[in-house]
Amino acid sequence: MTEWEPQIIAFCCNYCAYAAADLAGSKRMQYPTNVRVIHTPCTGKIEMEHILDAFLKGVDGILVAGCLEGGCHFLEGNLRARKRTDRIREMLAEIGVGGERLKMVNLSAAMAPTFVESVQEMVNTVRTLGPTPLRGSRQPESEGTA
Amino acid sequence: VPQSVRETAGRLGLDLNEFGFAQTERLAPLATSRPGLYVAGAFQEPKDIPESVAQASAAAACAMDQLAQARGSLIKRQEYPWERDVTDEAPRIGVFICHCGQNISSVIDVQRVADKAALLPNVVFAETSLYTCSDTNLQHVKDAIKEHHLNRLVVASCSPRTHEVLFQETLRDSGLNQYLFAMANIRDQGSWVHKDDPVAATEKAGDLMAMAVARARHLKGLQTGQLPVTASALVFGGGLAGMTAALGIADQGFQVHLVEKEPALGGLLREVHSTLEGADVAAHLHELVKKVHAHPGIDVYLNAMPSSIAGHIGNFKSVIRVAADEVAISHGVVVIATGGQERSTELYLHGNNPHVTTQSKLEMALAKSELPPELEGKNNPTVVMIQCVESRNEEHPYCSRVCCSEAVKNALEIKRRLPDANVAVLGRDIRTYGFRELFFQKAREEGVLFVRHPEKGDPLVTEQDGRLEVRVHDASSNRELLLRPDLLVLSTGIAPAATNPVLSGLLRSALTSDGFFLEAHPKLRPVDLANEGEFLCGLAHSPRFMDETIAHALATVGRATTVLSKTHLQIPGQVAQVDPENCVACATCVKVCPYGAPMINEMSKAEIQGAMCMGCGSCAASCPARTITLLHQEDQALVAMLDELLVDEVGV
Repeated sequence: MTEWEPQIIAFCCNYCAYAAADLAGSKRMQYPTNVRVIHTPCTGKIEMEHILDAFLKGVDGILVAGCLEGGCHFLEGNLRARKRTDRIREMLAEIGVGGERLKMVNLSAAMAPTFVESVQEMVNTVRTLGPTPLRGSRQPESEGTA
Repeated sequence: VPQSVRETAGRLGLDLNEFGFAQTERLAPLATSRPGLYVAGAFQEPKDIPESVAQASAAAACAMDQLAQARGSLIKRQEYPWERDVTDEAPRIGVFICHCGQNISSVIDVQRVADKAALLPNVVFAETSLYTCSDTNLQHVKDAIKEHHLNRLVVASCSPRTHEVLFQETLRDSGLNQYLFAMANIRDQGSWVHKDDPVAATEKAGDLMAMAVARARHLKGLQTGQLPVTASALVFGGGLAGMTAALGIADQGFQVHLVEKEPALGGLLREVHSTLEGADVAAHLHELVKKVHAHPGIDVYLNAMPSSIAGHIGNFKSVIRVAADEVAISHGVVVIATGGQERSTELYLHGNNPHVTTQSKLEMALAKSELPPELEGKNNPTVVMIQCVESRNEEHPYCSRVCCSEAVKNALEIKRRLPDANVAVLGRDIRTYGFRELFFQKAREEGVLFVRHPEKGDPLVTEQDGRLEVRVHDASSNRELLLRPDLLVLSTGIAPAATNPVLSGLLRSALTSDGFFLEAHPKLRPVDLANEGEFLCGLAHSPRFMDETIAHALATVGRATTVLSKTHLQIPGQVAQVDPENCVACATCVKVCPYGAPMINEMSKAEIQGAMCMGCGSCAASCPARTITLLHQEDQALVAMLDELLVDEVGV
């Protein structure tokens, strides 16, 4: 068996976070390879169920990256995302998975360094916490239980 | 201004001002010294992003104005083949992995990613290409679509933010719906950021590609609707902003309805007579009013207020109340140019002592006669001006931008007519923006006294036997000063128009906490309202100088004509849709939507008006009955991506 590597998902909103992640590339900034970005129109589109679904399927950590507060392209989507992530963090803490595994960050399209730091921090946090206790606890929906 | 810019200006034959910026006039801020050449951004005068973006739109409007007659004459229409319906076909996915020259392939083993793709279910074609976006390769993609009967396309390359549109175009050229496309970003978010770890970067690229394939399996073709456009504009406000916008739009051949609440055009401009630089504002106003009334494309409604505004971009239907009559107007766009007003105050004995006035009243007095009566016949009278009255405090935290320059303008005018007059300007600081700083300097040279007082040390004004006394702490000398002015002038700042709340309600468009209209995005969309097809300019947005208002107004011309010049608007496919079956009409969607797109219809079910939906998905995520779907962002596609990444890993 190969050494465990944290599996991180970053939900990035189109207008700010995804653009910041692209900018990090243009500037050739380097960050850990553990993160997989999922492009979303707005963080306000991310439903609690999908974040929970990802945790149940064994992801080690999730970043929700949206625009700066007051700077959301869709006005308040990021504020609702903040409320949802706060609630899920509490739930994760309560069931012993660790609220730190989910983090919401706010950044503008120009803030590539913030994106890079957030990824780095999440990887460090998850490395400290170790693999998620939920790994392998749920089978894929689309293919039914094996 | 960099040397290279000066050189370019030299080659273009542009006059520069003494600092090397493009020479412009305050009442024609976009026009350079050379007709037909326009300037925008910091090259005109130092400025922030929103003003630069607005000026860019304004410069585009000036150019369009020159070219309006030739509009559409050089267009070559793109013809697309008939779109194939793939609804009942099993997914047949083609995957292209891009080398991007060396950009990707120097780090990521692209062949390995292609090999992984070839093994994925539903993938019938996978290969690498040197530059997937090159013309030659795009032709190759089209051939592959035909030969392998592909009905989904996945490209693993750069960012969808820059290249998605190009590949979608390729799909349309091949008779496939543009939404049957997914992209994996393995350059900007892959090779470029993981250059020291090729193995892990390759594994990540494989994951991203597989996730895009998983998403592609669930993609559906979407209809992009067409919406006819009513080629006319409704402009609220007949001041400098409204008249400038109305003329700009009408000059390009579109009908304009100009609605003014007062019995005459002009707005706040009627109270201004010259700019700091000496431009004749009164003449400009006279000229504007004449042009507006004479323009065959502009209908002016005076003493008029809106009573309802319904519809959406391309097709608004409004009712305007003119005296006792109601007029129905159809229009494609709305421009808000409702202006502002000098704030009224009761501070500093204003209204109680006849020798206390405001900057605009002083300017009027100076325009009407040689000197205000208070200074008449005196050798060295004293004029005291107090800045930031009822401004930059807790109640009105914003800076009104123009007052310092107004004070400097009036102070200089008094000194010009009565060189021995004592003029003192009391304030926390002096903000004469951009090149106006020169006049602040000039005023000091002319002997105008600027007294800086601490933030919490507002001057104290009392009356002693009918004589005004002003006490202030001078921060520079750390002393209390006592001044006995013959005339006290207050800079009270600019308040939003009193009618803003009414109009905001009718438009369902937000106001800022200060009572001005809120733009869609402070930097990206500075003259757009959040709702499509609605624009704003001038003091309706925020306090600003005349040249800034003109640029703002012309920016709305640029933005409005992008809508009006089309016969039809394309409604994007990524819009929210309600399944009425489970809708309980709780109106959560109505509440969360920033654009007023959802409504409860006559069947008591929520319905999304496609033309108003911006595709953010806020309603879909908030719907308690989970009966709203954002098309192109369906749950199944996201779940499939999560499954691909997290469950049953294959590995590269």
